[in-house]
Amino acid sequence: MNVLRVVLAGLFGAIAAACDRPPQQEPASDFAVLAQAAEGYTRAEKGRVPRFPEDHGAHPDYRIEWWYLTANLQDAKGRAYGAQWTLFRTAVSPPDPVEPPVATQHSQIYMAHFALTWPDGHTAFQRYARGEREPDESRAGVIASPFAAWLDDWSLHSTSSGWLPLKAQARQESHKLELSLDSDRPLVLQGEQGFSQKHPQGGGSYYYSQPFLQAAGELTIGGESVAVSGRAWLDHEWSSQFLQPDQAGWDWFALHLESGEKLMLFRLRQHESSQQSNYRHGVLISPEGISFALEPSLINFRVLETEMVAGRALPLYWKIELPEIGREVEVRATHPDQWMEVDFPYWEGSVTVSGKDPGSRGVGYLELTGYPVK
Amino acid sequence: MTIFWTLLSHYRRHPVQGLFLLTGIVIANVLLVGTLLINAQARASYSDGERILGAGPVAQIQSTAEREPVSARDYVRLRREGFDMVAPVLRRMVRTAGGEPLELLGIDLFAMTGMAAAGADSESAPGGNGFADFPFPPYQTWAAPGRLEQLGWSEGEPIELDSGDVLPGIVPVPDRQLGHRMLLDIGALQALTDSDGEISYLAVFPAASGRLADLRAALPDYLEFVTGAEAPDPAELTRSFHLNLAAMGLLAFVVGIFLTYNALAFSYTDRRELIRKLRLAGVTRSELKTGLSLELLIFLLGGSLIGFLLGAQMAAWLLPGVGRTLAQLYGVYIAYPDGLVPAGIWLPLLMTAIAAGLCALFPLRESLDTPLLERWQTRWQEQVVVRRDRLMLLASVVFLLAALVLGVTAGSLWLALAGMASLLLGAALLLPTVLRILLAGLQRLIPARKARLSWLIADSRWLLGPASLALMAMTLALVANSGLNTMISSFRVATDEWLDQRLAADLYLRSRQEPAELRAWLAGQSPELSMAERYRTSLTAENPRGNAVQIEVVSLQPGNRFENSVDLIRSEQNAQQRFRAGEGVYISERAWRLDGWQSGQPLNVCENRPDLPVLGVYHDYGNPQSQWMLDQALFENCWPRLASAGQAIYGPKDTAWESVSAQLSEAFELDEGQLIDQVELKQIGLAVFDRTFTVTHALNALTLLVAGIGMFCAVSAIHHHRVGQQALLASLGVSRRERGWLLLSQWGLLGLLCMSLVWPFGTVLAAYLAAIVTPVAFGWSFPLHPDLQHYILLAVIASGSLILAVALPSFRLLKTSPAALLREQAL
Repeated sequence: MNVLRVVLAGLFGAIAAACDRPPQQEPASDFAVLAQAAEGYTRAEKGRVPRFPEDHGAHPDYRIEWWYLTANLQDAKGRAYGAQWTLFRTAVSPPDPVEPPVATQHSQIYMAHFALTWPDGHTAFQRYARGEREPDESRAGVIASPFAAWLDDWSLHSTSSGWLPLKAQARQESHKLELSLDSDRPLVLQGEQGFSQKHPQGGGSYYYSQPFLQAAGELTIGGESVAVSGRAWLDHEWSSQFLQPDQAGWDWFALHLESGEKLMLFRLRQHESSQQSNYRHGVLISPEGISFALEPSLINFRVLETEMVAGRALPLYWKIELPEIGREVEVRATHPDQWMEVDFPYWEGSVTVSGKDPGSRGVGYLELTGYPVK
Repeated sequence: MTIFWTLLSHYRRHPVQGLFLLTGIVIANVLLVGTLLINAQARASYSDGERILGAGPVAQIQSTAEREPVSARDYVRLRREGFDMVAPVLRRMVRTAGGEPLELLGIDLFAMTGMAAAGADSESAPGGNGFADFPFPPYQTWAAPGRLEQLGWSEGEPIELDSGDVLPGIVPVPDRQLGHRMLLDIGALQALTDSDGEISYLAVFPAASGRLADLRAALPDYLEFVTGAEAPDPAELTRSFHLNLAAMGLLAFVVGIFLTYNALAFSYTDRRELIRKLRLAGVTRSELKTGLSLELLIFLLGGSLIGFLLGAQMAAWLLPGVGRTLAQLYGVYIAYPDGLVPAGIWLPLLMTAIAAGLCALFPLRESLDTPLLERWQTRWQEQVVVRRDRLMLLASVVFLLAALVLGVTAGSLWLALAGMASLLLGAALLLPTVLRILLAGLQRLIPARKARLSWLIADSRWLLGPASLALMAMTLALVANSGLNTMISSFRVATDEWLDQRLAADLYLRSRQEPAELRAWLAGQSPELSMAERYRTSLTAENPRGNAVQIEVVSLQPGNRFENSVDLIRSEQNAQQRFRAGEGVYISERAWRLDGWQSGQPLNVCENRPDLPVLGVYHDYGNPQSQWMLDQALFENCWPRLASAGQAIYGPKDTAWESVSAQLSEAFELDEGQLIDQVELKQIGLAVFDRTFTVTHALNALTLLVAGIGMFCAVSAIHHHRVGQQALLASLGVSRRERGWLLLSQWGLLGLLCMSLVWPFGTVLAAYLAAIVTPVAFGWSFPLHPDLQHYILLAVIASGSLILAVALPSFRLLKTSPAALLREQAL
């Protein structure tokens, strides 16, 4: 789960913090908002299986939602690039049958992030918009079918009557992203039939992925265009409460393995004062799209190296042991400077995966949130 | 150093004299510093340009038809084409339940957060919450603390509007760019003003020039891109206003310098004896000069410092009023910072230093040059004074001639103001001669047996020697006061009459109703009710002076009622008929005077018409923009697709307008703001007028106060020297009571006689302001309406302040026994 996306919600942190945050809490991280209570909103609960194409669209009755695309790309010379396109939606107030008197008071707020990584650099941009009643008159919105998610000219949309193929576009200053995305594999429902638990006590989100996207297109970096191709991973997730108040942040891995398998791992870190242990989750997806949930107690995360980035000590070199499936992978950032310097900052970047066999090697994306400034 | 302390010890014996000297220097500085700081602050605001939350737009996109909103659809289309440098702004004028007009700016933070400058400013957002509460219910209204102070509002106070709605909670923001306006979320403002989906203009924030060019190219033909360079430069627009302020500061400076001179003259004269003794004791002239110069320097620094502090305080106090005036006169908004920009203390200090140095020069030389063995002689010997007055008369004549020449030829504001200054100085310098002639005339009228009266006049003539400078300072302030007051009241009368004439219809409607529906409804009410459409647009044209200017273009509805509402101050032959036939246009006085279009000159009005001649010029008071007026048919021909800006409804005099208005509101579900009657519109116009001149009135009153204080100081000083004369009278057997009366009538008489100059010169000054300065500065001229009541008030103030100034020291004199008085005289 790239919850990171969640960030968006942090935008409204101040409002929610005033009413929700219990006293005697750990200092709020940038992502405290994810742990906000969700009265008045619909809760994500086990048993509701996502339906398509309806569930590709927005779910305004839930507080938080995101569409998250990451791509590991290469140019003709084999040099590695990364791209991120995300759209977050948050509801400012619980659903109200009474329409606001003017369109601009619509309670749905969107935030988008667009980032590019190239062999020796990284850049990130953000934008916000309010959703309007009429999608045609709205700077931002998401339509289920034919699928379109956009904020201004940053968009992700179907190019035919089906959901795939998709086209991702974004442009800011002299940077630009234009990727065509397609796959012949099925969608993967995460967790239990699309319900992804995020806390030992329950609570979670609806979550599905398309980790098998083939990407091809063009990146423009500082005005220089380069043709690229590679693999991409798209997540769509929605909920009204992601974290519990005692959770501080997460480390999340989405890995494309040379064997054709996909590996998704995350751990939710508890605040130091918490009695609970970190919540862990892992799933191995076969090349055919069949998921195998890993036993949480048999996922061992070990940080090999931390680096100071933007004043925070970030774990950018990992060893992850998965004895259950007999694998051991080392995950390393392609370079440390993939910090997302946005309003709710986090680290999100491309990584290489190394190990002794094709099932332990590959590329992917790593996301780190909630690390305090030292 | 001993010499310095010895000289300074004089002020230990006469502390009041030291205080008066200090007051003169303070007065010279206060208004000068105050007006300098206000002007510097306003200019700093202009150079920052219009900024929204610290982000400065480089241009704006607006509808080519002014007052037409930009549609949300067009805005969203531009954003979705990737033009993320545009952000929507809704601008609304509303009125509080108390009638105060407010300008509200609705912005969309979500469209602006990507803009670096806006983000950087988030730290200055109120309450440490950043933007968090601003864009969400229950919303907030952000205002500059200076503006809140001006309105007398406090944080969180619910402000009711005349529509019955309530403004979201008021939050003071220390954002120095907000100025006169208040900021709301655009959605909140749309809901508040019932303008769903409306956008007044799109602010364009900085972007790569290529992108800006793409943006211009992407605009449909009904949207225009107006850059800051094309928009009128606020500094240029408001130049005349700031010159006027500076002129007021200079006037107070001159008054202060007169008083400084007066105080110095007394202080040196009083010390002649001391100086003579010191020199006999072997102190050299240069030592004395150094001592006295050092003393003057100390006073200068002390007085300037106090003057600066008071001036800064005054500027902070007046700034919101100035902001209001600028907003109403020019539509220009300045910031109300928490601290004023540090504009130099150096200019006023230098000016005061030079002036005080010159003031000290003559009395100082006189004191030092007195032959050592000569007994102290009266400085006010008749022939000395007459010689001085003659010089002054000569100077006065020169100044008045200069004023006359400048008045006839002045083409620029600087020359007009120079003419005004010459007039003021000429009037002041004329005073001693005029008073002397008047007193001589009075003396001739008094029968010989009225000895005391005769003595009173004769003594008053003597008094002209020492008192004339102080009287001149007072006269100067009074002439300025009277002139400004007459100018403003004349302007108000003219505006009042002009509004009566221009507001030809009875009801004014601002709605998007189908005209046909309205017309049908009116016909159903009464066959005598009529309706006319009002059109308005704006265009940019190059004036004959070669500058690009924004022109407001309006339509004149057909019919005698409307035709007669335009009074032409200049016109071509058969102007009315030709105007009706669409063969030409009228232009406002501003377009004629300031932009330089002449009657008869051809104008390019619109593309689908050949050039049309200017047929006449009309008054357009209070409009900071030049205006062209077209016959309605011609207007519709030029801009066929333009929707009307509103409707004017009129009918016979005895129509019950209140009930028509109520029924109309009900029938078309109109808000209060959308329907307004003639009476209310006129009230609004005059209220705006009055508020516009609040600062002028305040400064005017301050000048008078300053003159009053100065007068009090000067007369007290003079009177202190009149002990001997009192002693003489007492020894001649004049009772205490009679002496009191004599004193008071003497100064009362002088005050009244001064009015003989104040009245005519005040009126001439007003005429100068009305006929020369205002037309050059604003492009408005108006006839003069002398305000007799104010003349009487000024006479009372002048005589009153003189009598008060005399009464206090006199009280001490009168209580002293004649013997003690004589002793003091002998010393």
